[in-house]
Amino acid sequence: MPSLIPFILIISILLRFIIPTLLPNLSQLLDQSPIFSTPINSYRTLKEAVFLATNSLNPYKQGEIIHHPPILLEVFKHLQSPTLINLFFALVDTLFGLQLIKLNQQLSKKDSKHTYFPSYIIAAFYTFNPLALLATFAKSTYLINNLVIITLLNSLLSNPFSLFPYFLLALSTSLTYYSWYFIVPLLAYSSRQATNHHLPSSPIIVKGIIAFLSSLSLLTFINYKLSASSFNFIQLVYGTIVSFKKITPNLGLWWYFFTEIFEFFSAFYTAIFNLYSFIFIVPMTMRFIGPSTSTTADALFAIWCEIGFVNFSRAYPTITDLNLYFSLSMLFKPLYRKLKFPTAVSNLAMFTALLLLPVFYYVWMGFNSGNANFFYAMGLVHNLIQVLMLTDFIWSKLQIEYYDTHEIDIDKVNLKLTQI
Amino acid sequence: MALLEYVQRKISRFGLVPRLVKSMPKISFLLALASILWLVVLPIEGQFRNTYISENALMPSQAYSFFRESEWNFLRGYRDEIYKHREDPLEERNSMLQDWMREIGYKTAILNYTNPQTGENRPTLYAIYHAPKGDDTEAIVLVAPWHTREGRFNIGGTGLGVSLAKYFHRLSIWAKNIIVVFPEDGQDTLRNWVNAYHTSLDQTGGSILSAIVMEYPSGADGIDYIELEYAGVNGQLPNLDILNTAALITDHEGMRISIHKTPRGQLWATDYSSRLTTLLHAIFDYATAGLLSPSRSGGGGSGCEAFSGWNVQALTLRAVGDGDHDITTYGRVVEAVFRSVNNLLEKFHQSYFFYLLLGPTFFVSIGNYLPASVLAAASFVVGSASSLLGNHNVNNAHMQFSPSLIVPSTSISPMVALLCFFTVLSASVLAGIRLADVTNNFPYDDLHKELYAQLTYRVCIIPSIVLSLWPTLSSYFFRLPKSKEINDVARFLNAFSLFCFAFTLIALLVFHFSLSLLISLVSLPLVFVRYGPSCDKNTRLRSTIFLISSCPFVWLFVLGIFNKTDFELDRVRNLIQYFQMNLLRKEIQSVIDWAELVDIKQLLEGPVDLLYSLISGYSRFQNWTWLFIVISWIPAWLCTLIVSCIDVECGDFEVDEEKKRR
Repeated sequence: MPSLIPFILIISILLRFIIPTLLPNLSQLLDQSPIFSTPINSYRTLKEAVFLATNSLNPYKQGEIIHHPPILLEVFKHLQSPTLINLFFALVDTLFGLQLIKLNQQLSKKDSKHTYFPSYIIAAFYTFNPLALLATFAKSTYLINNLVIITLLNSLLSNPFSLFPYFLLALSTSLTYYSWYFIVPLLAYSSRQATNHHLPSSPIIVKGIIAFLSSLSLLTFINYKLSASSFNFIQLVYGTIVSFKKITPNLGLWWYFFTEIFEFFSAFYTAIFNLYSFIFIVPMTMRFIGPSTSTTADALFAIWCEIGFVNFSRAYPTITDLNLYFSLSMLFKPLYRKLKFPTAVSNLAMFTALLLLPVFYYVWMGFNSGNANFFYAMGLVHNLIQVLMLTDFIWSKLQIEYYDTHEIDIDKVNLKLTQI
Repeated sequence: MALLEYVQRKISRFGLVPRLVKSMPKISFLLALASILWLVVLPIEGQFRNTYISENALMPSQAYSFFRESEWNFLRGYRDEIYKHREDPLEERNSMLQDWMREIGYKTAILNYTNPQTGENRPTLYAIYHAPKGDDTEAIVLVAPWHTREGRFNIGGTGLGVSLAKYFHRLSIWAKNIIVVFPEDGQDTLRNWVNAYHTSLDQTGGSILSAIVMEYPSGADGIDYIELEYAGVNGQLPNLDILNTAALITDHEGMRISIHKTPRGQLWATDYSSRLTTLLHAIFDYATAGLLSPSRSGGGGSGCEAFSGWNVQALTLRAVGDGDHDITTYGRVVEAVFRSVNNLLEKFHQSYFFYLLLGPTFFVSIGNYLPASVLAAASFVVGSASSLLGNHNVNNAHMQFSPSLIVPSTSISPMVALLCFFTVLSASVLAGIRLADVTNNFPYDDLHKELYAQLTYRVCIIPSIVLSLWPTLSSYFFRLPKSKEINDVARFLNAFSLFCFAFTLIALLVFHFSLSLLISLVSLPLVFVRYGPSCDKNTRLRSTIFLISSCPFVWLFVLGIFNKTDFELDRVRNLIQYFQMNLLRKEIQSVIDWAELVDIKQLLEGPVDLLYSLISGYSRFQNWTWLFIVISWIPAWLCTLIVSCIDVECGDFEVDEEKKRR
């Protein structure tokens, strides 16, 4: 079966390359849907900015169309032909699949107590994953961020003391802002590993912070230079996300509040929502990475939970973020045993909600017979399923941890743990 | 959460799970029954609400309407003149009206249109009055088709249209432009004009807020009551506010208003049975909007369907009968609606877009009626789960359910099932599109009628009935070996197709409640189709019956024939409400009389008409009904057919046990 993997990966590239080449209108069609694109990551605005930039206009100085970082714009300036762009996205997404396989391999090597999915299943899953396919067809720029994050996880797992993850984290932060939250689990994991290897932890933490900050400032400097020596891009790229300036319907929880509330409340709500998206990072890290018994798998799980939670509470979520969360859930096969809802059920529920979202959007926007409540209600259902899935995994994790620490063999003893 | 867990533990302690699983088919039947019950409950006092105007700006009937005796002579003059020229070709009639409208002060233009069905030229005359006080961005449309939907000359409607146009031009109150349209018919020609208005016309008057289609195919001076039609295609309804406005104004003018073909005798009735009749009529009319038509035009609806999809609140007001109300009363109703819409400051956005009417002044809003359709669709979800848990395999009947049953022995069988489903789906979609494509190449005229008749009967109805017989026929000569894989494929295919059907029904019910409800009710037998060994003739025969009774084309046939009969739901209501032997005898006699007189050949044309309007629906009116049937109902039916033909020799457990023994 391992011989299948290169074959599957080739299919993956072909699938992601040929379909958008044959159907050039597909990406435009998907890009118009709020499920695939938000003002922050829309490929349409990126194209417009590229057009402006190639016609010697600076999109960061004039107007407010672009919310992509200048580095990304620079990359896409060199990718003008549609074939190249299609190939680029196909490669990025396939590399993501490859990293997922590697991550799974590393995890199963480190954790011999439990069984994981064989690599070819992960490969096949990722190749034909409709979320990944659609995100690639929509040419969502968050795919690049997903790749950066999964590479980060990979390098973190292979060498917890390396400074490379911190650089990747800085890169991801400069791409999407939210990633700086993950500095907390990263530092916690490094220090935990240091203690386990009987090394002093504070130099490692200090080094990590310095590495992160210096690479972040380097990237900011590059961005600053690329946008013709102007700091406008900070307001455009990150300010828009933090202060939720562009209120458009999306999958998330924010937009509805900002359309409904009075103007003078909006500062309060912005603060609350931003706080809310961060507030679970520290406790989750403390619970899963804090204990001295915590392993690499635990650290990965903590980061995954945090990704899931940020997905749910971020300002402009899209399917592409969901894709990262869903794909990583494949890594936690040992937890599948104790889930309340089998993965088939939660995935089915998730897909039903995802398919209904465009229907509700159309009833609102196309038919004009529904209203914003229809779409928001469906978005809420979608988010509820996502959070239920997250809590279900956490609950399963806690149970398995209990069995492992008390050395109970689940196969032999039929026990049922309950929350009190 | 804790409570849920408590319940869960109780259920498993009492061993209820296997029993629950076994009774799942009963549950899905009960769900369907509950959905019907839900509907029947809606007309009970207290379950529905009285209509009210929620947009304050409308102020219906607050101003005095001046379209009265002073306009009589104009009206009569125009009507007489039009009557004299009723036999003239359309171009001449149009040019006559064009002269009049210009004289009045309208800007006129003619949109050329060749009917693709008949190849006939049907230019549409329209006239625009740019209101001097308005900002020239919004318009109200008055439509007076030359012929009504039954094909009769709309003498009263067009005469009134011109005289109203003249009268409107004299008023100084208008804040919105007024557009008067004279299409040859209120179906394809009007639709073409509406499409052109929003895409290519040079002479326009801004976005259309609302439209009123007037039909009165009589030269009489008095009318009896007004019939209101409002259902658009794809379940789109006008805002409830404009309906209320029309109903209130008509009432204010002293006339009764009839919705959904309520006959004269029931116009004053406000009892439970009349409300239920209207409710059933409403559901049927919404679901079949744009598909059924009395004339042989292949559907097209009553005129207001032509505006669907463009966010125009359109109504058809049809004057009926020869009564005591002066014809200017009808004109005053239209005038008052126009003046109400003229008062609007914003587009219609208050009130409801999703509702069911139980009478001109009673309605049920979406939250109250939606559960009916949800219940009906839920019966398919339960059916799908029941199939996944092995209930549909006849051989499992005497066995206890266990969770290990659900897991397939290899991952290949679900894959095969999925592949099979997608093959059926794509075949159905391709065939459906191919069929719809026929209407682009061959017009629906006398020359090609035979072709469409053959399509209906030889391609759709007869083959599907023959296919339904296949489970019974194949039982005589079709055997397969015992294997867990075959069991799994059948089980997954059945479960998956039913789930997809349920899903599409749920997605549909948000915007087309009635269609979703009707389809889920008539295709319910699909849930009860079971599969088993081919020697089990009983199961096979039952499958055949269920398949026939849930076949889309059988229902096409039934509905087509039904449309050709003069069935009136109201007579059934009358019979039940005031049951007497005499009445029953009279009704039976009238059915017998009808059966003696009826022309079978004409009756059999019903399904042909319906099929044509279905498959041409998208290109003509953007009606999605056929597309929906093609992606949901037909694949589900075909997959169930395939499953019921598979020879499944043993229960899902027996194979496991055999394997263990080996």
